[in-house]
This record gives sequence, C-alpha cells and structure tokens, in this order.
Amino acid sequence: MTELVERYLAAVERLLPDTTAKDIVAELREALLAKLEAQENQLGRAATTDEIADVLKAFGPPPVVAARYEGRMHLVGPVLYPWFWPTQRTAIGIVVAVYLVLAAIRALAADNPVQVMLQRIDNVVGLGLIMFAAVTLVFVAVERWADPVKLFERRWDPKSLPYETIRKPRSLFEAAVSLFFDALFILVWLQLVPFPNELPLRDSASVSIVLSPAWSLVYWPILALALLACAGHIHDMVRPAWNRIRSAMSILGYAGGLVVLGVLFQRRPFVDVQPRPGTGPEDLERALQLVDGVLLVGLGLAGVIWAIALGLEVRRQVRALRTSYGAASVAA
Amino acid sequence: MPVSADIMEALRLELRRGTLILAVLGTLRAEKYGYTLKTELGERGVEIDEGALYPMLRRLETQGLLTSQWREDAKRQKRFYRLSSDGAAALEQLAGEWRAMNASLESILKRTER
Repeated sequence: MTELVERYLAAVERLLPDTTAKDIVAELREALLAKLEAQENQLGRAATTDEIADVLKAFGPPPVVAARYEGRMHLVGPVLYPWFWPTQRTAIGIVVAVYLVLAAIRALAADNPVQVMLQRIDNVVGLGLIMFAAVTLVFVAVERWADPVKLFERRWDPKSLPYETIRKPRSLFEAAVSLFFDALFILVWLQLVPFPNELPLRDSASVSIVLSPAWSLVYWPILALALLACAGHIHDMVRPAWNRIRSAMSILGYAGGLVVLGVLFQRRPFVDVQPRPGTGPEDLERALQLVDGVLLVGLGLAGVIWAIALGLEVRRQVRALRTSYGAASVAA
Repeated sequence: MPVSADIMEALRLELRRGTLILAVLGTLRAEKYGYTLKTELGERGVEIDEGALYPMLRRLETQGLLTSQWREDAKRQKRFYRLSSDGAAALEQLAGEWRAMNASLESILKRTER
C-alpha cells in the first residue's frame, strides 16, 4: 500500500459519516489496490508516484467520491457540505473573537467595565446569526451558479493531499484558542490593549516594568511572527491535517522566533525598571534581577521548545519528501 | 444548431442511469467483487466508473437487493456481492419492464426514422 493511496483514503474517510466510513474506505482501498495491481501487471513494473496519482485522479477528488455515498438533496449539496460547518465555525469564531476583543478594549476604558462588557455580549448572538446567514448564502450561491464537482475536479491534484499519517490533525478548539491568544498578543503588542506593568514589592513599594530598548530592534519581526502564527492557526481551522504549506509556516515561525531570541539574549537585561514613589535603589535592583531572571528562564525554555519543534517539523518535511517522490509499488 | 457536447453528455448519462442498475443486478446473479464486476461489465460493453459503481452497490445492498461478504481472496480481503432473493425477484420484474419498454421504444424510433 502506498503512502499516496493512504492519504487519499484518509481524505475520503474524513468526509464520510462515522458509522459507515471504515467500511466504505476498506472497500475503496480494495478497489484501488485491484486497479493499481492490474496496471502494474500490464506495465510489468511498479507504478510510479505520478501513475498512482493519475489513478487517484481518475477515481475522483475525495469530496466528490464521498458525496456519491450521500443520496439526498440539500440546500448545500454533499460536495460542498464537508466545508460548510468548518467555514461557519471559523467565520463566526473570528467575527465573535474580534468583536469581544474590541468590546473588552472599550469596556476597560469605561467607568463600569463589567456592565459595559455585559451589554456588548448581548450583541454576540445577533452578530453570529448574521455571519451564519452570510456564509450560508455564499455556499448556496456557489451550489447554484458554479458546478462544485467540476470545480474540484479541475483544481484537484492527488499529490497535494494532506499527510494525516505524518501528524495527527489539529482540533478546531485548539486552533481557535490559539488564534484568540494570537489576536490578544497582537493587540497588546500594538498597545491597543493596555498591559498591567506595575510590579508590587514589599512595604507598599512598587516599580513599573518596561521593555528594554533591545525589543525595539525586534518590534516588527515579532509583529510579523505573530501575524504568521495567526495565519497558521486559521489554516489549521480550515485544513487541520498536516501539509507542506502549514509545515513551512511553522518552520519559518520557529526559526524566526529563535533569531529574535538570539538578538534579545545578546542585549540583556530584557527589561528596565522605573521606580514609583517610595521605592529605593535596592528595591529597583532586586525587581530588575527578579523580572530579568524570570524572563531568562521563560524565554530560554521557549527557545528550547521552539528548537525541538523546528527539528520535528523539518523531519516531517523530509519524511513527506521521501514518501512522495520515491517510486512506490502497490505490492510493496 | 447542433446540440452542445455538454447537453449530449447529460442526456447520455440520464439514459444510462437506470440501465446500469439492471446491468449490475444481472451480472451479480453470480458472486463477484467490485473489480471483477467492473471488468465483466466493461467486457460486455457497459462501462461504469468505480466512483459510481461502489456507491450503487452499497445502495442496492441497503435496499436488500444484494448481499455482501468480506472474504480473503488472493491474499487480500475482498467484498463479494451477489443477488439476494429479493434482488432476483426485482431483476425479473425490471427485466420484463425493460423488454416491454425496449419494444415500445423500438417501434417509436422506427416510426420517427421513416
């Protein structure tokens, strides 16, 4: 069994109802194997990846194949349906998350933040319904005026199928939570959301923590990396399985993060401390050592984790290249 | 004005749709698995895509017209289909209707050709 056939079957299985998916896929696997075996017997040699891809292409794109097992008529047909709910969840999730973040910013500036926030939350249901209706209309329009089957058949290339065997698909919840924190970080980084920077010390003394000038060197790279992370998590929501584009984004992100850390580690301390009334020089020095030490450990750990993740992602890319381009035999 | 290729293709598909079921039921009087069924249909001049064949087999089985069994053959698990008793009765009835319809159509087509 070749990697490409398994990727194809995994893509079909993901679009089938759980109750019948395994059985249908087992039969499709047998059908594909029989077809490829007959082709290999005719050729007198193992089929190449391109030849296997041609057989899969003739079999049909996964959404079209899965749709043939769904006989009923819908407002949104079976070819587009597998994308309907993920798109709805992504669109509604993004709109609601952006709305809530903006509402939180406004609430923080108000005299009574809790009340203002609760008033804003009232609008979330309406906003979600409007988004649901808009997305539904788009799907119905595509269903009626475009031919989804031809659309998929024209653009589909079996070699671009995701590698579900290379990494477990990310859950929608995980991607949505990550996206929320990405958005929050960007808002803080752009100073659109205030970040509490007062550090209380003993005897009612306190200091203000500010980032050291070293951070201004990496201000734009950090913003770019945060936007890249956002794009990656949106990609995870739409296409949760592993693929080369998503992997390349991760590699770029981890490598960029390590470069940024390298710049910051060369220009320590990471922060400056400014005294508040009643704070002595000893308190200042102690606070600087404390915060800088915490950041040293935190950023150091982040560096180790990113380096390991970078290595894993590069390994996945190499594995995908090997399985995709090597000549493969059905009998093997 | 000549009929466009798209319209002709749609008409041809519509014409074939019902007859394919008859061809599949007729061929499955003897037990076969998907690939051999497709090959035999092809040899008899009835071409059918796997993408259409397998969902059709599943639907016919759900309707009780076919029975299936997973079995090892040539070192691989294969799903063998055959006509059920209900399927045999349905085939007999459909074949009768097909012959009657064919005779009527022949007579209509002969008249229009004159």
